[in-house]
Amino acid sequence: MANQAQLLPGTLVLLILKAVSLGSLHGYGILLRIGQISGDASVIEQGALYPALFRLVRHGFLTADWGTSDNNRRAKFYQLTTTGRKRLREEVASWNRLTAAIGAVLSAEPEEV
Amino acid sequence: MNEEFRCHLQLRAHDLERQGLTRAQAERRARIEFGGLDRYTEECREALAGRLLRELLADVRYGLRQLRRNPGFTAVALATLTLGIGANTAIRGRLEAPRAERAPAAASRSPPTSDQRERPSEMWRAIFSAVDAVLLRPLPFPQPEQLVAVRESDRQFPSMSVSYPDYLPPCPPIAAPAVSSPTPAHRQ
Repeated sequence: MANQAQLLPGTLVLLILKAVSLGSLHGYGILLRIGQISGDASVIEQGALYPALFRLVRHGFLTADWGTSDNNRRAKFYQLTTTGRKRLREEVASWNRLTAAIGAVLSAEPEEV
Repeated sequence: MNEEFRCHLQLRAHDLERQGLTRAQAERRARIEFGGLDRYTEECREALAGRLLRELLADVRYGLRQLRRNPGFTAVALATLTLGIGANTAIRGRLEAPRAERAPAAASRSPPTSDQRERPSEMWRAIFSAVDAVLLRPLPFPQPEQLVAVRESDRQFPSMSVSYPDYLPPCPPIAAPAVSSPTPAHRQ
């Protein structure tokens, strides 16, 4: 577990929205996609995904529909709504601002301060 | 929700099997990776409904569970409620009809007779009749405005109840409505 990236609170929403934006997925699929994109750093306990998904559905960023998965079981497939798409854009923007700011702080040389 | 979790676990176990684990190992590992099933079910419910509603639902579910475990008690309770409300509705209906004849103006205020009943409003009428009988209506006597309550008084006790033998002649109280100021018969 040494390489496990610690997920900052609040970034899970960002990861989920991004993962779903690439196509409608069920819970496990979202997990896999996050893993694929992030280089398979197991960022969260798998079950923690679902309360986050339910919250996003409740806020209207995602819609959930029942469908059949690859192993012929019923699963809920999640899709991004237009509100969700907008929220994703906002989250990405604020994340970029944050990382830029922190990056600037970290790369500051003693003489510059 | 459980279905969703089960699907997830199965898919994960399947992937782990393909990585080389045995079925049992894969299933176990998948469950560990998932984390606390109960906890996440709980969190999902809370995410859906919010705390107050969730706790209310939990209490309702508990109540229903308890009822199911005591079928005898439940049957008796239900029977009592049914009989009580049903009897009230029936009696109420029978009393309303003569009242409606005598005072058509007041009938607009009272619930209509059961001939014109439809199914859903029957239930409301039953509930209304229960509340009505307990709280709202004066006593179901003919000409209730003429009922009086008779009290005795003396120096020490200004208002005492009267026992029946005292009420009888030779102390004729028939003139009492004109003499004293009687209390009309309300819910006493």
